[in-house]
Amino acid sequence: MFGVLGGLTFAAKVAMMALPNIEPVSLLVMVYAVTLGKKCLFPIYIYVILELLVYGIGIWSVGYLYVWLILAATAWLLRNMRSPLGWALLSGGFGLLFGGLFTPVCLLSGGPGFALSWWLSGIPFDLIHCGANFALALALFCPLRQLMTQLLAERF
Amino acid sequence: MKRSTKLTLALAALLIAAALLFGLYRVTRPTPTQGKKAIEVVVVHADKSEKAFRYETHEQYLGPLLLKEGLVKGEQGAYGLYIKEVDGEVADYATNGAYWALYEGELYATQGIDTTTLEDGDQFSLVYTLG
Repeated sequence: MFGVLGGLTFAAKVAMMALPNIEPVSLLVMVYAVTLGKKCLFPIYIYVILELLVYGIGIWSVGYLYVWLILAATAWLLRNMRSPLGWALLSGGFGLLFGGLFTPVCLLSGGPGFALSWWLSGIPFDLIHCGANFALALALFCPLRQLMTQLLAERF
Repeated sequence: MKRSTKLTLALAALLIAAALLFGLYRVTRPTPTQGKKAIEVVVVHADKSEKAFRYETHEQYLGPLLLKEGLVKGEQGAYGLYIKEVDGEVADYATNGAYWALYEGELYATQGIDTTTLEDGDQFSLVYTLG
């Protein structure tokens, strides 16, 4: 099951590749976190491994090792929240901070000037990421959570 | 505090944060300069050989300059111009993970080639890189 979920996450991202920074990964990571608990790490890191295998290893790879963990942990802490708006705000906030979350890696690889410049130049993409994450979570988080909960109850 | 009030405040905070970030971007982004500029572009091929190209131009951004001069060929993608060929050599990511990396001086570029502004005396490198 975890392999399927990880593969599904990767496939869904690839399907939306043409749209810059509009991705369903944040939504799915949150759904996995609140329905699977700590076992959500399996599909999340299967997704990360698929990214590394397909796209190779670069600066971004190091960031990918921890950014999704941050979102999953935050979602798990808020797992009792039922408001679609609340989940949309979490996802949107994560999208807005996405570039900033990679700056430690840029700091280590290129120094403070590079890290700052990298983050500032990526702000437009972070804004798109914020809006897209917000909209996707507002529309889909609660239905997907319900579906996942039902499937898990029926099958496991 | 009621839950709906907390969510409303959180929504307001997100919108304000987004607006502030947008403002920060507008204030800090490099602005193109007018006038004639002397630019150097060093191409480092897959075999590590180097070739330098010097231009005198009124262009404001690097991408249009190099496209006009025929040094690069590429495709417009979701994130801007994606360079596939430089000085006749193709980097095919699908085949061997190769791509053309852009450097401004010694530093890896933080912007795409078509949003990199030009100033007199700028030096860039396009380096054939294996991913």
